[in-house]
Amino acid sequence: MNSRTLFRRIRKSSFFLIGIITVLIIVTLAIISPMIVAHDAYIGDLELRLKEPEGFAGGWEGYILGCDPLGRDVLTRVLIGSRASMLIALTVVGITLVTGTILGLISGYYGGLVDMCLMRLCDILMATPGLLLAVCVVAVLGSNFVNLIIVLSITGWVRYARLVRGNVLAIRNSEYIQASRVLGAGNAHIILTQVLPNITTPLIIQASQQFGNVILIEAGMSFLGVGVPISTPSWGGMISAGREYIATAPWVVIAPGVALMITVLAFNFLGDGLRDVLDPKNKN
Amino acid sequence: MLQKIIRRALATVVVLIGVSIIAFLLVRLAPGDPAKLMLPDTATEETIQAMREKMGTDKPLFIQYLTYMKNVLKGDLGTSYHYNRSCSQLIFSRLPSTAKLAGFGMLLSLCFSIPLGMIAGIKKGSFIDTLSMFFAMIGQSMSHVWLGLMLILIFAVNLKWLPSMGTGTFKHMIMPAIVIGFQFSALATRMVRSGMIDVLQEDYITATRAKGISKFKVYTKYAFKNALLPVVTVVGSQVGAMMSGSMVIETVFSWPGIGSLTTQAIYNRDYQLIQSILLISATIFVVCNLLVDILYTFIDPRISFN
Amino acid sequence: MEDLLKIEDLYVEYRVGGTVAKAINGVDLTIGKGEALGLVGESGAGKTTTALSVLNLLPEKIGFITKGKITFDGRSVLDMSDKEMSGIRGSKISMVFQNPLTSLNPVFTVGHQVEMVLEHHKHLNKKEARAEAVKLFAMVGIPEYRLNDYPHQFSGGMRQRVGIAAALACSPELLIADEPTTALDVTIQAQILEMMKDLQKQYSTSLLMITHNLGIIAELCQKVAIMYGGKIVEYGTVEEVFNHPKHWYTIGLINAIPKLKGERERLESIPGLVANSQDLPGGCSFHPRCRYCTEQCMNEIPATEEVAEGHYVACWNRRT
Repeated sequence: MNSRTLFRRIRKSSFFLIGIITVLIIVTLAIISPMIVAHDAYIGDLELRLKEPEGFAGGWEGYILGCDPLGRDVLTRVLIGSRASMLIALTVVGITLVTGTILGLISGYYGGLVDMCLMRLCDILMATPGLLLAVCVVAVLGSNFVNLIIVLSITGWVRYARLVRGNVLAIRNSEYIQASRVLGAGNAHIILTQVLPNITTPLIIQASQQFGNVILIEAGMSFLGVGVPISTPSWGGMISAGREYIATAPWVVIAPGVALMITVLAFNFLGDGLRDVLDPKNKN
Repeated sequence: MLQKIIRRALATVVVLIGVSIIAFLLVRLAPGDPAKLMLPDTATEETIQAMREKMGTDKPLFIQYLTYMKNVLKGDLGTSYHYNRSCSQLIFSRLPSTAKLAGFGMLLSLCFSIPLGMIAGIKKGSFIDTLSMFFAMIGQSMSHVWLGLMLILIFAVNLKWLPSMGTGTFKHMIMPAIVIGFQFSALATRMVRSGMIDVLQEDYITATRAKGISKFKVYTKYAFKNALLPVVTVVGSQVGAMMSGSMVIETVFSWPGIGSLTTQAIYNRDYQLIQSILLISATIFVVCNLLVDILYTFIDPRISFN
Repeated sequence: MEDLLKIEDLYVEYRVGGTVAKAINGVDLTIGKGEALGLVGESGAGKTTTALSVLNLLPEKIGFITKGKITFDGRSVLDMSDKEMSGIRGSKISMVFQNPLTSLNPVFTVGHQVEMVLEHHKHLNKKEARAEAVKLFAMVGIPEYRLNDYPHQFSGGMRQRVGIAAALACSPELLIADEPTTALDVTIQAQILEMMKDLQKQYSTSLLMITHNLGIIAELCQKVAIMYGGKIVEYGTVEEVFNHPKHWYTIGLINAIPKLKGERERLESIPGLVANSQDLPGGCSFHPRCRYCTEQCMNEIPATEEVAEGHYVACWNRRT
């Protein structure tokens, strides 16, 4: 595909454009949030407890989205809270993408006993409802960032491994791979130069969709109190803390929920858009 | 075909053994000595040792696993130390409640998503199609917690139409069922839509029209069955998604099912109960998947006789 | 002979995205009662489009009849309501599709796919429809016990028999067969054709046989129409057209058939590719591939002339 067709497809795919622009905005906000927020995300003023949103009446220094039960500015916490979600999602997607791809390559390329064992392991991990397994493991091991990332990674690599394995199996016996074998290419060489470039597109699409998914699971876990530690602002934690005040101070819950939805939506749009752009044949 | 089913069932058994190992190790991995946890802090070293022997935790892991499995197969999942009741009793007393919720949720979402997906697929590119795709996107991106809380805010707090939590009447079930089925309706809408689009391009649809069958009947009978089959294949995996979702949803709506039992077990650090829930949930999930696979071979003639 | 189907000056376009394909560009065609007409041409010449136009079944929002008239049994097909049209499709006009592998619904039994025609048009109940379907299947050589099987359990030839049974279920006045044997083995082809020939005689059905195989035409049809670039370029009785072809395209087609008798010659092929309907050449659309192309051929669309009784040719520089 040359760059011109790529650009044409990008311009035609509104999903991709909306997705990429929103994602860029969210990521930028997450990075610069400590510099732009007007209030302290951790320590509140109890006199401002559950203060109603005042919009732009007080300007940037005011309490645009109101305050939470501890008198902390909701907008500040939503902005700072994005960092936890982004950090976890990025790390988990990175880890699972790499390990899943490597394991999938090994499984698909070598086949045999290795393949069988890995695939059964995948089956076993897929057989336990994702969030349930994650929650149970963290509940036992204790909840902190590292455990959270480990747990989400343990189940996350399976999809990549299966995807890669399937594609490797399809390519492995194709003529051009056999041709390189005849030419004396080694296994590692074939994997790196022939197989890997062929599966990057589905991997990128999968990664972008997993990103949104990890954020959702993390929010669910934080809501249940086994995700991000309560001391760190996170969207799930904020929703959980604001839950009792839903009748009197709904803004405490609405704001992080909207942020969560827009973020996940943006990554899902990006994933669908990427498919339109990179792999139009596979459109459903 | 029978051979295929048997092989599939055997694979399921392997998976279940794997799950039981995970569930078993999970509790053994827990920090701290399980015997100490069962006893007051003032317990002497001898009483702790005696407790270890009683619980069998002084033996090698492999032996412990075998003992555990022997008990599990006898139906003994251990005792929840918080409730001081047998885990299996606790779980099975809560299970019907969750099953009811999930079943109703699935029914609701099918009733909603099948017509929507069909109309969207038939009228591809129309306003309703765009709307359905937008809905499918939102459905994928919405967190259970937040959707639940928003429904409570709108229908319980502001409109006062529905009770915000608890159980008992049909009204109690509506909101949690909508939330538990929401993701599935998004997925199903998407699948029915793309299935419909694909099927309507097939020769046999033109052939059916050439026989004089009306458009309406072609859509609702002859294309419908083809477009719907793929949805059946994901029903199994949705059981898992709903189990995950039920934890959050039942907590939000105070619904007395497996999900809220899990949450309580986690708060109470009731490891034995967590272990048992994990095992039972995985078993149900795997068995549901197996049943759906078998069912599918009967529904889709192309598979059953090949 | 009385006319059963009359197509006059038909134009059809396919519009997808921004591109327009002119699939049919002024087709005139007549089929008499009980007559068998062969429609010959390469893939992309507009044969299937012609057939679908007759049933008014062009793909929605993609295929458009931009001009022309189609009259069936004295009534205009294009002016009929959906309901009237449904009453005619499958009962008075029915169609056998090209690919039996894709033209039967995979998730319904073959029996049902024939019964649905009977239930719809003859208003039979399930039991009566089944009894009638058994007779139809017997006619095309499929035993009764196979009615509850699904299409994938049949071979291609058997599936096409199902297609034919469904098409003949209501003894149609016009049967359109769109390359009914192309997807089949040669031996099966012969069986199917033989069967169609018998059934056509038995029911005195008119037949529109679409094919690119001249042998089939010679065997089954009285009249033949040669189609190129969405136009009929030559039309007449089979005997006349095959013995005295006038259009260079027809001559090319006939020369491309290997001869069994006489000296073995090098097969002649028509140079170039079939005309692209998205970008039709000006003048005679065959001119880029024609060895006898003149200045006039490149610029003016040839008029149709009657060269012998009932033998029409559209060529500026026809063989004399």
